[in-house]
Amino acid sequence: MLFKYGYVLAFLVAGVFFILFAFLTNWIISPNGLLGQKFHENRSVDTYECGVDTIGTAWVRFNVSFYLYALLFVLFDVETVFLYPWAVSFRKLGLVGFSEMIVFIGILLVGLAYAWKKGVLKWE
Amino acid sequence: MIRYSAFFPELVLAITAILIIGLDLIFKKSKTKQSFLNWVSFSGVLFSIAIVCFDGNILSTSFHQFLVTDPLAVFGKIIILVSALLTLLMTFRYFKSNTTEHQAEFLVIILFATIGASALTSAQEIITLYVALETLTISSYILAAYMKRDAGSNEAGMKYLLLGAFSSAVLLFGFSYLYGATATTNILKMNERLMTEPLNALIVLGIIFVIAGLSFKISLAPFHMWTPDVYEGAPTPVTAYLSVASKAAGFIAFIRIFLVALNTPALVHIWGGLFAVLAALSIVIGNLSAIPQKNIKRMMAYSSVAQAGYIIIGLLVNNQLGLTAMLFYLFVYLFANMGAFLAIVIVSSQINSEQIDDFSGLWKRSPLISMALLIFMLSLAGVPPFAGFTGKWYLFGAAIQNGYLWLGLLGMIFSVISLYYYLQIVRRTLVLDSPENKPISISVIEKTALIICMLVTIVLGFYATPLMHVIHRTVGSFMN
Repeated sequence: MLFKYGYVLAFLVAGVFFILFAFLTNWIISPNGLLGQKFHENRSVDTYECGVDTIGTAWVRFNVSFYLYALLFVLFDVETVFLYPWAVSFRKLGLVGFSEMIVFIGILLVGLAYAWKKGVLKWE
Repeated sequence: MIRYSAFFPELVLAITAILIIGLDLIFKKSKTKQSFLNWVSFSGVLFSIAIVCFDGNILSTSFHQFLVTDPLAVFGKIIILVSALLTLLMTFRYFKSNTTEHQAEFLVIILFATIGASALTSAQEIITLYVALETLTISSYILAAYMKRDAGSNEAGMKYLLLGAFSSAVLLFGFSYLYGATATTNILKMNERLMTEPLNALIVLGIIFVIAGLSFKISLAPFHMWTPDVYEGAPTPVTAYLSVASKAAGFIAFIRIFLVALNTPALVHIWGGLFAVLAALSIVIGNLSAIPQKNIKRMMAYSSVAQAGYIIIGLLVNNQLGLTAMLFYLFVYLFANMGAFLAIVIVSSQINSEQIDDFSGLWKRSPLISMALLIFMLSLAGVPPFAGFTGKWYLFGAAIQNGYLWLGLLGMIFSVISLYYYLQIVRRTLVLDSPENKPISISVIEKTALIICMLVTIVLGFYATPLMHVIHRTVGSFMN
């Protein structure tokens, strides 16, 4: 009976291994790890050769508009991804496929019109 | 060629929702526009109900048997759409006292949630079922957090989102195990393969995860922890929607998965026992926790945990009688619970309070609502002349006939205990006096809805033949 749970055990072991492996590789290649340099001084965390010196921390408040833009971007990105396979098999799908895509894009257009009208695209 | 008729009701809802977004953009903000949009949403749902009633009786499948229109789907859709209709009615009242600048979107999201719930009832394939369930729950997260200036609503939305996302993941994990064991996502084929498959660990673990994930949606103890906080914090129409439409969809999903896909003699032993424990826990915890509550929505939340425990009894006995009892009780629960919430919304939006104590002396301010509350509370508690009694009679009868004597007795004992907290409301409304005597106003359509809910609750108590006829046909088409 017990060996039937072998599946689960195998998955468990594999799952734990994946996480341990990630930590292990991280440790191996990290600056203070197995292969990294062993010394540490103030200069080693500086921007290398080019780039601007950092000011303050990364924990600042972002304008909420970034998130709205990101949401819209994802939406239309997915639309594009969806359009490619449709375009490839456009001839096979015929009129039904065409009209369904029109409906799909129509729904997204309503969403765009909504975002536009509500002033999401305005940068203040 | 795809057959579209299987999802006409959802199509109508989707078109209505998009129409409302469009109209909201075109017209300038005004009172007339808002009431116009209200009526558009209302008539969209009505139209959808009409389609389900007149067109739904033909057994048809579409999208390679992903969606099926069978009597069970029709029954579930009617419950969900009627509760959506009543929720919209509550919304119109609720936003008279609680203003938000995004009122049209609220209607739209309720419609989207209803699309998900409605599609869930006809899903015959676990991926479709999951997607429909997510459409419902993601909309519910937004609805629960809708009053963004209100801390309670924010808390409700956040808790619901975190716990809901977690339970969805658990459910999906369970589905993946079932898929791993049977190599199919179709519910009927899954049953065929499980019949020949020897019992193994994958299936057992899959069942446990699916039970945990789905029990969250219908708030069976011990997966009910989110219920009181979310029900209390969410806008009252949303609370009503979660307690009826969302739960009805969850129960239909339970029926599809457990009474169809996992209904093999070996597996019934496993999930039957698990459900018996969950039902008993829900009945005990729900009823006992409801007693000390001061907030009426919180009390109704615990009451709905207990009610879920009663209803799941119909599932675990796994026969015709049990399913009949379950569907009957769901129907009765719809009208009693929705009616009670309608009364609560009307009153609490005018007295600006959700405390049970503030319902004192309601009989002077609105005799109709006091009487309605009396009837709904007695029906929920299961007192004889009302429909709740008939429903519980069937449920406990089914439990006792199938060897769950202890569960039937437990249900009966805790029904008596539940009388205490249900009658607390009735006592305050009918016996105590209030300092204020200003009458509670109620519109014609709300009055009609309340009276219909009352009539259904009373009439089904002693004359349930037409409904039983429909249910028998549903059950007959489903299990032999």
